[in-house]
Amino acid sequence: MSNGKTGKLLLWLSWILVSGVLIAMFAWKIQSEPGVTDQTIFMPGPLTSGHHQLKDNCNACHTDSFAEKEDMQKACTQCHGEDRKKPMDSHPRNKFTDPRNADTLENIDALNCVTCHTEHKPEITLQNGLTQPADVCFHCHKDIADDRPSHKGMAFDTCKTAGCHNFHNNRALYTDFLVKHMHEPDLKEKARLPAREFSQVLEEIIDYPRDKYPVTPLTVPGDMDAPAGKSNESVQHEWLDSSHAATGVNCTACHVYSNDKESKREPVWHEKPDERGCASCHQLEVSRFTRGKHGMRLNADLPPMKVSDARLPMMSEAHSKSLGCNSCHAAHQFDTRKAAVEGCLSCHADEHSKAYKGSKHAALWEKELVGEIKDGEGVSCASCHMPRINYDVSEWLSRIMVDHNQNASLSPNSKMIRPACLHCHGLEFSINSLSDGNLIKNNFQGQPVFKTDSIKLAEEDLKRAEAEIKSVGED
Amino acid sequence: MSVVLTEPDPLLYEEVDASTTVEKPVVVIGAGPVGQRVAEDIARFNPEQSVLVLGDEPYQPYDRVKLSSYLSGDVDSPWMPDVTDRHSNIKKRLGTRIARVERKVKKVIDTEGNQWPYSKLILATGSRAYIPPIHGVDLDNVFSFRNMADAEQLKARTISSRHTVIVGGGLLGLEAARAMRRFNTKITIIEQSAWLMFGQLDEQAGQLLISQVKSRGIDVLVNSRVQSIHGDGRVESLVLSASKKIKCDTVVIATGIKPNIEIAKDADLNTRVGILVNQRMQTNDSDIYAIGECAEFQSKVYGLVKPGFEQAAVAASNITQGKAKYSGSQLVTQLKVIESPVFSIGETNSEWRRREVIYEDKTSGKLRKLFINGNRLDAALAIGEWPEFARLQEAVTKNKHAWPWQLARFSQTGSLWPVDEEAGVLAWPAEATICNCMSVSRGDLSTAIDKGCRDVRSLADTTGASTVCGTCRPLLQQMLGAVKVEAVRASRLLTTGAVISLLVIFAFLLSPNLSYSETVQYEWHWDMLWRDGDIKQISGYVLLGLSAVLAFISLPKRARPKRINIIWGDFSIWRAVHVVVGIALLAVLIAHTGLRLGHELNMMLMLTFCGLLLAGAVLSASVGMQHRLPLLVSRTARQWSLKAHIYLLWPLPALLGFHVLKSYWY
Repeated sequence: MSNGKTGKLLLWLSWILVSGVLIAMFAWKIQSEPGVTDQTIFMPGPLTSGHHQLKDNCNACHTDSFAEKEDMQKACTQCHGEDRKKPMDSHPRNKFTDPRNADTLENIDALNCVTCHTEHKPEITLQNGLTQPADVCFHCHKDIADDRPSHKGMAFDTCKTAGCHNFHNNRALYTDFLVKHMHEPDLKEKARLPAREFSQVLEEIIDYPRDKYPVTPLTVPGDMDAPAGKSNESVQHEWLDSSHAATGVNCTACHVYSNDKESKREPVWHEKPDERGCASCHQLEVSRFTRGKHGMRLNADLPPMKVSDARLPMMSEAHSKSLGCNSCHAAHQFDTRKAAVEGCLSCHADEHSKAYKGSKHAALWEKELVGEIKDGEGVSCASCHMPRINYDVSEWLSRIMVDHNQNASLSPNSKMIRPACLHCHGLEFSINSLSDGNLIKNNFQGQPVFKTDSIKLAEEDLKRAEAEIKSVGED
Repeated sequence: MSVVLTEPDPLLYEEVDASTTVEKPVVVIGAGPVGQRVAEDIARFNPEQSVLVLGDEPYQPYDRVKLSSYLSGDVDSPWMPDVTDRHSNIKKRLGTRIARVERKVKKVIDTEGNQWPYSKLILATGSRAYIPPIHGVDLDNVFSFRNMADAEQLKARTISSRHTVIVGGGLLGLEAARAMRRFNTKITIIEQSAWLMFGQLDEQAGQLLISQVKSRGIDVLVNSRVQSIHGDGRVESLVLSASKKIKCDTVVIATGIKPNIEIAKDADLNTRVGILVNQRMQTNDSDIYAIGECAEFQSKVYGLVKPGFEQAAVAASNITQGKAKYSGSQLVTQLKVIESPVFSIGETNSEWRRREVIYEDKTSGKLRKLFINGNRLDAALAIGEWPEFARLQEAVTKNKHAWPWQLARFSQTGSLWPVDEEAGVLAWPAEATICNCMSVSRGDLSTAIDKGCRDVRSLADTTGASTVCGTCRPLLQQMLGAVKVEAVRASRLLTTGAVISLLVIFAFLLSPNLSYSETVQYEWHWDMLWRDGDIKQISGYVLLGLSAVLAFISLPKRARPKRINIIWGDFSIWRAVHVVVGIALLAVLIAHTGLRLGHELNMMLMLTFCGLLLAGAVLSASVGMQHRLPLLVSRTARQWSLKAHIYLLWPLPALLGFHVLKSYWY
């Protein structure tokens, strides 16, 4: 009998031991800082394509343990807040905090992002990260057919898929805009992209280090301020040919980080400077870069993205590359024309990318490269995906800059219409083309098959409104 | 010496040749247990084959193992069941002494001149007592102890003997001592080695046996050799090598056996100590086989009955066109020495360097020893009762692994396997030998029980088990006694619970998830259950609560086996409650997960739970259907599933804890 008791005691002790080991392991994992140990074991499901790069840092979204709903909301807006304000967002937060719309909140909690965008739920994740059923608009707009007879008989899961509406960014699709741009030709007469303005506005950028690097051309190797032995002939040539040399940007401007200088430490020479070297002059570009998928890991204190991390098809030989400014802007030439096409195609291997070289856009770009047509008349990858936008640098200054957050004009792709397509194409043609999946795959070789009714509907609404106004006037 | 070949008695021959087969019979010389066994084996393998058994002693075949019991009066007769009763093609003739074998004409000739033609000849002539060349062995009242004649003589002598000296402290000598011990006869055993049963025991066990034998009033003199026996016509005294003189009136010589090989020698068959045989038990004449104590295989003559039976099976197989090969027998000894049971298997007394694991209980005089060679069981011995010996014998014969925890248990409790009194002999592997004498395995007995044997007698008749020494009779009874199984209380509930659980497991593992709604245009939809965080929390905590209830029901049974009945009442009620609560838990679990296994930690939790549930379902079914399932199946399923059910529970609290914690942490 005593043996039985000892056996049982042993069994209990072993159980306590096993549980103790398990608990200790889990406890250590859950409280560890990101990067110390793999915490994916606690993930309730795989991440969406938007966030999957953040899997190594749970804290990027789960900022605090035992966080409240508000903390989670804060984490969302920390990255996505800028786009959630009017006019970028057609359903901004203040629309729902407005007491007149309080009843809509009873249908759906529109104040919190996670209501419609729950993470870790691939099973119910639709396009653009929506985790509500596709007819979610029904909650608030179920009476739309009464207000707009033209919408009679339309299914609620087509609001966002028929080229008419986006929940957030609707800037290229709202009625007034459609009316304003109706009857535009497919290809505009003056089809040309705006020119960049960085060199023109240099004088007005306050934190530009003009004291150290005055805007005067540097023309001979003797001008270089690199320490002895740090440069060679080919570097000299490349730099002297670059616009950097032409505007007085010397070696140390990139190779010594400005914040090093501020902290009064001995200036450190960085052999291969990263985005911190660029940020002293191109702060805006760098910050936009860290908002997109190329640079988002930097924003979450993670090492840069590796090409192999991507979920899109990539060139196999590029898998080991990691992404920084130099991935596209090769030192020391910094040739933006190379960056605009070769930079992309050295990694991306999806159908759309591979079809580019055979497209009309590419043919124009080839002509621009050899000078047959003017700057801005060719269409590179960057023309659409890193469009030249008029960006408000400060309250009194805006400039045309290249948006290095390529995701800002994607998902849904109608966000690309205003910054890119409309420079050359009519609105109807643009909407139709972007709604045509095959056309996107073959990089727009051919005419859109799909015809959206949105402009026609807008026109009808306009006529109806005019008629109503007229009848009121007659009364 | 010339022998006249005469025709056999026509009447007699007629009787023998009554079989319809045209072929000449297989002739077996020797009607001892091995001779009988080979005849029976042949008849079993090929019922058409006629067999003739020729016995020398004028007695009906008897079991030599029982001689000492016969002598001591424990059994009335050592006679063996008549094999001709069972097989019509076996004929036998007793009192027929064989003079020679005419190999050229394939006939054996008996001392009366009868000729017995054979197709194959099997020599099972056995052995006789080895009488050492000591002065005075031919005196009156000097006996050997080997055959029925010896036994009859000794039986007559037991009453008048005052002091019997037994020469030889091996198996035979101890058996003789046991037999002669009645009627206050003083007994002295003289052994030339350092301890008793030198061949079967090591020094520690041998010395223990000496002290136990001595404590029962039998004198033991070791390291002693008999120089001469003295007396005037009858034995009066005996002188040892140390010039020590012992007065006595009876001497029993038990110094070993001498194979009966004379017939073989005369027939020019190869012999050394015994008749030399190959792996098929053939002598150098391929039509002549030798088995049992007269055969020598790889320099070994086996003096026990079990190897003889094994050899008989090999010979019978080869004669009936089989292809069995003999590769030596594991030496197994299991007998009662005086009152102490002694067990020995394998080489227990060798110089090899092996690990010994010892269990000793000094108060009851028990000693058990395992010899381990590279983690495998190599040999074992024991003095005192050892219920699991038959199972162990199987393990040693197959050189099975002994795990460290098994050895730890052994050195603590003396049992290599957990003692489960309920399952008992039924838990043994099917090939484990239960009846050593007749080589009957647990599987053979189970088959016989399945075929309808319901008492020890019919079981013994069918399989032969317990017909020889009878020590396995309790095991047979245990097997039979356990057959009557009644349905447990609420058996239908348990079975239903098992079926539901299995369905749920299949649903989790195989079926698609319960879908989320694709529209918001509804009043209520079940996907609320796992879309809404609050509802998920509710279902989660209900699950946690139900799990706690399940654990609480089971805990007292594990923690306090004795008191449960007093405090809790009938266990079967709580078992039923456990099943009902478990099924309720499954319903909530489906509501909580929508039949999803989840991801990472959640998946670990779910898979562990599915395993736990599966084990629970098997357990529940094996208990609920135990009255319908074969006994061994239900017992085995119950044992293993219970273990799995408990061990799979182990990681659950930690997994569950972190599943809850992480929901709030993140």
